[in-house]
Amino acid sequence: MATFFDTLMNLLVFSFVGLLVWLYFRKPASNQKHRDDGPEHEA
Amino acid sequence: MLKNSLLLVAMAMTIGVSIWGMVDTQGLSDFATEWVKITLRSRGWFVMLTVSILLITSLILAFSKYGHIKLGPEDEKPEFSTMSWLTMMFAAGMGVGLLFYGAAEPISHFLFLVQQGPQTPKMANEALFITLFNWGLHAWAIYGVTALVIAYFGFRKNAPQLISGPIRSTFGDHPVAVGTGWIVDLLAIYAIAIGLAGSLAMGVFQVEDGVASLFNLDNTGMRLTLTIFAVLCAAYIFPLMVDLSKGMAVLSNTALIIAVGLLIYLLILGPTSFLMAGIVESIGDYFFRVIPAGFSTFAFFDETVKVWFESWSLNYMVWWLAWSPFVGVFIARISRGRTIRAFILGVLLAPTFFSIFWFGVFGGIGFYQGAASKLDPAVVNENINQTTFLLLQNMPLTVLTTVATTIAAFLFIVTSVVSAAYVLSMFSIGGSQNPSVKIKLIWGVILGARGLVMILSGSVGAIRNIIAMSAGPFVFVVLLLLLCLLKSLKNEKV
Repeated sequence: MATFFDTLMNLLVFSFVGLLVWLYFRKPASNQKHRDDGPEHEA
Repeated sequence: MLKNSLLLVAMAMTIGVSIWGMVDTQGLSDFATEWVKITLRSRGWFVMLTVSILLITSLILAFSKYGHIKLGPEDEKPEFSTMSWLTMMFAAGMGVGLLFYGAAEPISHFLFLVQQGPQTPKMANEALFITLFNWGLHAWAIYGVTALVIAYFGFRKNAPQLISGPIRSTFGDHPVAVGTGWIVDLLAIYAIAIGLAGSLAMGVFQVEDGVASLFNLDNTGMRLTLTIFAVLCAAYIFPLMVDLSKGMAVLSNTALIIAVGLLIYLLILGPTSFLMAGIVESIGDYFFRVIPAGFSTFAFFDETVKVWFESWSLNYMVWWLAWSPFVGVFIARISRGRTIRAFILGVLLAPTFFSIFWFGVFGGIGFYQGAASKLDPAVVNENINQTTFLLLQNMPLTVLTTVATTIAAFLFIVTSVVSAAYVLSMFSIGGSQNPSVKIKLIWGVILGARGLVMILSGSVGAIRNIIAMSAGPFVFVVLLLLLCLLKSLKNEKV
């Protein structure tokens, strides 16, 4: 049981790392609306 | 308020766990212990790798071309003086833990090392190094990265000062980004509530032992604990009802001034040359070994060492992760107008040097008194809360220093709870800087209830496990925040 959980946890970690790498190199879709497109102003 | 799903779910989660803790304190404590054991064992390596990545990336960013980027418009000047900035940051990040663990932690590690083999003088150095590792650059890299990302997106991209702000700003209004942002804010609220409640409980234990030490009370039981808890609740409810932001800053600074006064007092009236020699050794030892130590996972050691590593260093890293949304948002708010380089170097180096002095003095005196048979090191196993007070009993002006330590612990806790209730309220209403008194009071009461659960668990170890259980997902969140920053920096024209 512990081994199964251990493997599951690590698969989750590996998937997350893969997702991060993909997100880093992914180009934004042309229709993606960014919140920071506007001019900078006082928060 | 009833239409705010985030607020309702977050409150339901925290209240649910509070009720569980009150009905079945031992059950919650056992569950948290078992859960933390399994998760830290299975992905402890990932936590250590993550905190090392955070530290190394922070240093690279500080000295990269992005170091000149300002957290705010280019002509913006820092809002606070550097000294005020560092003081506020340190009081928020460490607070009562320093009073609690100043002498107890180095002694605990020393005792563990002695159990592992024949005693050598080097073990004292090693005990101090492990303590500094737990409280030093890695801890502040976790806070620093979280704060940097929130400040960068808040002040340069006009994102709300929420943990979800950078995610929404980077990935837009895609449903996955919106959903992830919602979950991340929920986890942040939950982690803050648990982390703060744990700290509240530890503060109560510290104040209780201070009072017991002052009046020579033995076996006070839960009556004194609950009395102190009630006084503490009464003390933080009032500031939640009125806007006392400047007053809270004064209280927080007073606590830190008392702590620094205590440090200087012990350094001057204690064995000064012995303490300074130990501190100088610690500086060299720490900075030469800190980066490799971040990758230590004790993979090939026996079960005893693994359990010790999981219950100290790994647990600490998870603890800092639990506090990172709270401290991160706070540091971000006071850092407007600083460059990325000044921000990172300030956040990493100033608190680390202070910690080297703090643990060098408290830990050093602990070792000194232990060697002179004035302090029984075994106290850390019997009642870890008493260590600081027993140490002070062997110094002049015991009553004064005990009162000062007790007051400082009390003030640290009051200011932390008030600030946390404010941040929780801010988070739960979408990042507005002016949450209503009603919401702040509700969070104040929930924090009190959670604190009571932690107190009822009666054990610092159980408290740490409950915090670690709640902060587990934050290792993923902080990495996601770092990704948002790196992605956005690629588009900066520097």
